[in-house]
Amino acid sequence: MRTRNPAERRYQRRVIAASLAYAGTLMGEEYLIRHMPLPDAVKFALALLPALSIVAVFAALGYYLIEERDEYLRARTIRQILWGTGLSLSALTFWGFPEDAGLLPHLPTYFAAVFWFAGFGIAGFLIKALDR
Amino acid sequence: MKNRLKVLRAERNWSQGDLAERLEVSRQSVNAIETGKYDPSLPLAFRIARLFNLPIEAIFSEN
Repeated sequence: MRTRNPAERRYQRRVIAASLAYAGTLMGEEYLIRHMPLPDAVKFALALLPALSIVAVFAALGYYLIEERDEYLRARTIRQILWGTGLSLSALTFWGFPEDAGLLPHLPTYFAAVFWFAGFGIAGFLIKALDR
Repeated sequence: MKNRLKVLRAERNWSQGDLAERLEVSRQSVNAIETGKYDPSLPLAFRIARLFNLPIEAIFSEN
């Protein structure tokens, strides 16, 4: 969605760049780790690359909060972050106990970010609907 | 907190977008303040008061 708000535009550009970096580093590291005889230290460093792209999205959100001059939009985003964090932590907690009892499959820890993005998205939708 | 923003804006025939432009905030901010879903910070309340040339308490009230 196009926006005239400069802080939102910069945020969108950063998220797109981080997403492209994520796709590129994920495909690159998977190929190299599976097909190249590399020392474990190099594999470890390669495996961290997609994680850095995810961290870049969190950083983009932080920069947005710093750069957003509209106090209402900033407050709304903070509310969205808090709700998203609460939703994702709750969902992960609900997943964890049945998983521990052998009733659900094991989730890799990077799924915390997947749950958080889902929670953040749901919270954004709910907050916009409630504020309408 | 209650406010008379909508009335003051209507008296001047300004749209929410016009008021937002004058205050250098988003249209969503004006809408949220008018509908009482968001209470502005003190600096923004002062900006609103200056724009309408009124004291803050003539625009905002506790109840």
